[in-house]
Amino acid sequence: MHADLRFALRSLLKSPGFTAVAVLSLALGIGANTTVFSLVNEVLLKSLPVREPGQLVLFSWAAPERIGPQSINGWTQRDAATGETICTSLSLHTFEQLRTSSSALLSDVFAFAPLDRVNVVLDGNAEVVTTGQIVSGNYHAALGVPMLAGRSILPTDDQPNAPPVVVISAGYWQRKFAGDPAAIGRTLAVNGVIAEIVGVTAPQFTGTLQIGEVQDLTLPLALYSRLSPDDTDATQPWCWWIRIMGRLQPGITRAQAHAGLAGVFKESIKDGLNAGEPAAGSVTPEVAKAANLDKVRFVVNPGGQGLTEARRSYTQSIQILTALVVLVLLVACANVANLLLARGAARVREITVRLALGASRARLLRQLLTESVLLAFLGAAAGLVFAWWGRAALLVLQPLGRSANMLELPLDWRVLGFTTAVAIATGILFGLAPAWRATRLDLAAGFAGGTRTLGGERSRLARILMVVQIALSLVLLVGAGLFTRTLRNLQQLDAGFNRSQLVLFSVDGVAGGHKRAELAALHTRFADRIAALPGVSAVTFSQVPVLSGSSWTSNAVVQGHVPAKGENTNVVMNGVHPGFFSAYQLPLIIGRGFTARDDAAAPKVAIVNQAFARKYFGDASPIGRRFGTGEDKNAGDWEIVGVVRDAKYTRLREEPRPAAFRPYAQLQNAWGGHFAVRVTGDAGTYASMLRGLLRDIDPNLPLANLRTQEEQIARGLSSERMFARLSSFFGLLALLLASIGLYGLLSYSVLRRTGEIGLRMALGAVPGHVLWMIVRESLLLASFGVVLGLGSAWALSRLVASRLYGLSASDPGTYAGVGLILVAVAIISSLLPARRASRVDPMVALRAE
Amino acid sequence: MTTENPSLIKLEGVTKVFLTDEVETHALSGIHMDIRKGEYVSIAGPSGCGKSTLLSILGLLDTPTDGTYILNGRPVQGLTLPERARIRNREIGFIFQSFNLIGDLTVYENVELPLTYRGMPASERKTRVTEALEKVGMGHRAKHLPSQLSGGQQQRVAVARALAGSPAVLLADEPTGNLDSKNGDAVMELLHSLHRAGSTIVMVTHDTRFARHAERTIHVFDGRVVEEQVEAGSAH
Ligand SMILES: Nc1ncnc2c1ncn2[C@@H]1O[C@H](COP(=O)(O)OP(=O)(O)O)[C@@H](O)[C@H]1O
Ligand SMILES: [Mg+2]
Repeated sequence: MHADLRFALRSLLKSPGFTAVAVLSLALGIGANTTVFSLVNEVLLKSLPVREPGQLVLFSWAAPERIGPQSINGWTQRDAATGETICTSLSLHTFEQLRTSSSALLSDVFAFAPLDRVNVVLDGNAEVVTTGQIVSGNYHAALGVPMLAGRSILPTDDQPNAPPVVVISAGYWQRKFAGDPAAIGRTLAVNGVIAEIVGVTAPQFTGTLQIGEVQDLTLPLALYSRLSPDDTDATQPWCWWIRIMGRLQPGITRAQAHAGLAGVFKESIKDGLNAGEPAAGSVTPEVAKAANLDKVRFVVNPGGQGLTEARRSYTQSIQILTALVVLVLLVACANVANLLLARGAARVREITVRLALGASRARLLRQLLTESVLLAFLGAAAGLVFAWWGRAALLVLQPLGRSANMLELPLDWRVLGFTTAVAIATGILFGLAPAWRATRLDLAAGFAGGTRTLGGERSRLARILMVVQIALSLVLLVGAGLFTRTLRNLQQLDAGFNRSQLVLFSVDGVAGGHKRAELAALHTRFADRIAALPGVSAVTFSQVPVLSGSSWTSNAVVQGHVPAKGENTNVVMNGVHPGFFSAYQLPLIIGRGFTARDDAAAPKVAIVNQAFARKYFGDASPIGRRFGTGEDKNAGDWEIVGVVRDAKYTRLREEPRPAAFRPYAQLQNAWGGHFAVRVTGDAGTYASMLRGLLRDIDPNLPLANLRTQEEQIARGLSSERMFARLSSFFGLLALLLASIGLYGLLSYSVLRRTGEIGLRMALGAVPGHVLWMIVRESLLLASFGVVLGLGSAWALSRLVASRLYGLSASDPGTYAGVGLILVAVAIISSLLPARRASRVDPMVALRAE
Repeated sequence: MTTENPSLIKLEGVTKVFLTDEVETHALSGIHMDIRKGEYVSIAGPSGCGKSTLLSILGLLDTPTDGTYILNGRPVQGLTLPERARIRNREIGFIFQSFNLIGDLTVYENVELPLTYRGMPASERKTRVTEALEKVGMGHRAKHLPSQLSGGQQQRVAVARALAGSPAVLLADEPTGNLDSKNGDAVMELLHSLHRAGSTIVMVTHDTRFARHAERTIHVFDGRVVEEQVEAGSAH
């Protein structure tokens, strides 16, 4: 073994050119796979860095659609198989019940929830910290969270009159205090609550919330009513918002915990359910609720990863990434296998001699495989370097969108193990066939002169590998074409309004200490001041930012419209400042826009879009008709005064759907302050002007999330951009490898066929004949590869169909274009060898011995 | 030896100098030669004396450094590559020492090759190929690959390939060099019968036994013609 290794190393060093190209190809393939695996590891495999994560459980529930509590704050997902809603949000009441009646099964039960808005004042400077959480007093101890400094939150902190404390993350400690131990004991004003910093969590602990959300501030649950004073419903049994986890007692299984606690759970949600779908006829709401109680399933999931909804939502992205890099690795393997074949052919003499000297075939196979595995390990070592850079590049592409931009992708033991396994597997994968081929020599033929014919034996294996390599490149390029065109289609999409030269920012008046009822006046004051700035042509604000991915939807009840059973009555809502439609340049089709007179005291009005008008009123005029949201009795709430043109509201991919706008001043529960400023000239130059103006008006109200509308839209396209960039990069790389491979194969073939080519010329072939002969050979390989590749691409593209926009997964233009590119590349790669062939001296025919 | 046959090949003062690594090799120094239609000429001489070089010039595979070459009444110096290829294809049939069949073409396809370069229609090619293969007694092996034939059979296929295009002259460079004497005899017999049927043949050989088949033997030594010998018995 040792000798094999030494010999393999020596033999690789003897042909440095071959070794360099092979190692580089492999490094690329293995590096790309390692990078993506580090993402898989981080998102799907890694457990919380706490004590015995396998003992943790996460409580959740599942119920048929529309059945559940009146109010949910948190992720809900639809189970594609059962159609059920799955959710981890529960009520405080359920937490209390589980906590008090589970000690036989669980050593701890603890709760946590994100704080939606956190406004922090440190040393008199206001800033928006978007990440904070509240936790039950036993959270840190029950999890076993490692602390970097100070102490964790304790049960004694989680009492109604305990002095307010806050635990900060390692990242926040570094950013705000430069890691100064003196930070412990200082105070922060969090949403106006003065809290003492008592501890810093270890850097590897990023909380139990969704992946990528690092919670900078952790505060006790008991402070919630002071941190979010406007959320008065938080203690109601029908308001489900807190996440509950537990730690199993030793020896207790999840199934046992489920069996033991299902009754407690059911009892605890009894008062929290809605009536569900309006039931037919005589059934009273009480009967309906009782019936619904049986339909809500209690679920006890593994909790070792904390909340996993976000993780799971990235599964498809990660699958596509994995498919991309596996293809790249296969391309690299095919490439190296072909190099090895050519090398094997060049080593025939060496191998013949070794066989003749008595080496067994198995012995030689082992030697050659040692060489290829060694090659793979060299590739893996270089691949780790690529992966090191690749992680940074991947993070720039925001594989999981912006919400998860706090990811780190450590190259931990699991990643290293994966890379090692890949190296061994690829070494055998690309090495076996050439080694088999190289050791299958006919000794007698090797030594006997024999009667030889011209043309040399053409390696069928090399040709097959070449076809496969071309096919793989084609698959990658088709992916690149589909994703790139999707990105372009979305970028060039008409959103329905003028999206250029709009500067956006947000303010959070509630977190800044203002009452909800004051927000309309506060925001209007800002808008008026901003409108007076030079270069500003229009300014507006809304409850929900446009094309940001977030939305506010409700079920519409329209006077005179009786919904069919199962009809989708969902409408997109927004509360907007009177200048909204003119600032966004959303044209009014009929009726009037909002004015400053549409205030809280005025009659309640609404403007709908064309899709809304069409759905509910057909060709009749919607002006003067009335609708509301929620229950039937609200149907007369608002009068429609205008219709605006359809546009994209939440995301570019959405189909036109009913939307309704209401005056911001008439909203009962206004909270959002999302401004849009239409400017002349370069949108980027307005940032400091806007910041300065806002600081003048209210120094406690920081301006957040300053960006242009185009940037806002671009953020929503991060996965499209990532797929387009990566598949293009890998596709072009594969194409380059394929063309180098083809060039090498043809050059080698021309070299071996020199005698034959000379003979053909002696027999009267003109250079054109010979040129065409080689180009045709390349075209033949390419056409096999293209046919195989188009078929595979067609089959694989089904998997990404849902990610495409504006073209089908079997878009003929893309397939034809990519096919043509490959044919063109095949011709180009063959030109040099073909020219060399056409210059063969016919004399070689006579001289060939 | 007087004959009314016109001159087919006429060399005047042909020299060939190879220049490799600053070393000049005078492979041919002033060759004069006249070969008439229907003649059977053998070129003899020790190894390295320039026989193959001479044959390659006759076959337009190479150009002389100096001197003139008139083939079929037409000077062939200064022709373009495609013109030379065309003449090779139509006027000359090659038979090589090492047969030079293409391994992944069948016997039929090997014989057909020069005809395809001529752009001949497939039906005519078929007649010609079949005829040529019949002539050399290999008609029954048309679908075989060269590797499935013995050396002698391969050389007969090579002869058929040279014949198929009805060239003005057959050029053979030691056609029996790679064959045992039995197979060699058979190939020589074949060439002899072709000659009797009217073919012009120029053959390089150092086997004096076979040289006797020819009507005339040209002895070459060190790039010069040193002696011409006429086989009285073979003359028609
Ligand atoms: N391409 C070439 N380059 C240099 N020298 C050559 C070349 N071809 C032939 N020669 C030399 O020319 C001489 C005649 O060679 P050749 O015609 O092959 O001899 P023959 O066929 O009689 O054995 C030899 O000395 C040979 O080395
Ligand atoms: Mg010779």
